[in-house]
Amino acid sequence: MIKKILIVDDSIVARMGLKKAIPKDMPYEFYEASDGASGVEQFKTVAPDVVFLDLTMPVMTGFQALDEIMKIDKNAAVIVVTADIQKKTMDRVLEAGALLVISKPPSQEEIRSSLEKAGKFKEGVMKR
Amino acid sequence: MNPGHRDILTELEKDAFKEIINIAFGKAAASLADIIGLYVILSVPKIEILQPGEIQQFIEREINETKGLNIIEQYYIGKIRGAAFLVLSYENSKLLLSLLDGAEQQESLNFSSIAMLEQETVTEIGNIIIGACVSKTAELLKDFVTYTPPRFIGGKFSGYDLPQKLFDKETYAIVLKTLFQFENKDISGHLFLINSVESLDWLKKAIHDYMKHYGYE
Repeated sequence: MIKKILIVDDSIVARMGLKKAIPKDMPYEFYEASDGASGVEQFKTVAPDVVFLDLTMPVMTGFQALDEIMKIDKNAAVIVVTADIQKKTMDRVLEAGALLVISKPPSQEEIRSSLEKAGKFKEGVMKR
Repeated sequence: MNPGHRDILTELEKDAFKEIINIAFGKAAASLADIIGLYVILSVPKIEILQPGEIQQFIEREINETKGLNIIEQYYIGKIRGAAFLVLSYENSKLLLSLLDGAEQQESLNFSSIAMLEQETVTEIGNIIIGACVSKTAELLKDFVTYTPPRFIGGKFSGYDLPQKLFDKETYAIVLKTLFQFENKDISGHLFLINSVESLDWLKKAIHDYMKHYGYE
């Protein structure tokens, strides 16, 4: 079951939008970070059930943060939310361990369904 | 809203506009990657509110060199309107040409033909990047823009004046900048979008409509 959600994005507007798009049917706990490095730090301390991760960020990019997160927990459920819609980007992050990739701006339906998939993945019902 | 102040956009509005440009540039990068078959590394966009007289200095500071440049200019006109500049170094322009046409074609041309081909190449690259980025921005803001043809304006910004019709000296402009790099190639360029504040009230409303539409408000 998904309880703790970490949102890593340098845009406060993007973080707000993601939070609002998440269904209110569960008492989720939200954690936020505005760059890849603080996202990795939050991941270590909070141990979230799912991470929404942007790629183009200052200090540490989302690509680097994803690598770090996967080193910490190879079963981490990371959903990449990015404006970088190049096919190679999608292939790369999926290969690096991301569960899903969503292009920006995400719709509420995409967020809801990705959260559902992350829940199934964490329960072991769905594979990466 | 009086466009004669530097705080014409709130921090949240600036963040939202930056995010819109980030999405738009992602689209531009994907278009470019398709055409030249190279992977484009995106950077975090920057937004500044500047007076027309400050823009030239800002651009020169950002690109960190004042000569050896190829600059492509294109104007976009809709409710959002302004000037876009793609800035590449001479060396990068040469590399781009070889990526697009291969070295073989250049060998059969004389010096002036190569220079012309380089200009045409960077102008076309500028057209693709600017068009994809500005069109996606307009789409996200529920606007529609038309363009002037892309124009190669030479190698330096000094002496270049923004048209007063679009950029009143007494007001400010919203300047967005992003850097793009091609992976495994020593090629990078800068894209600047200089937005006039002529329709500032409309722009602010469009930004808030975007935020509402995607659940940001």
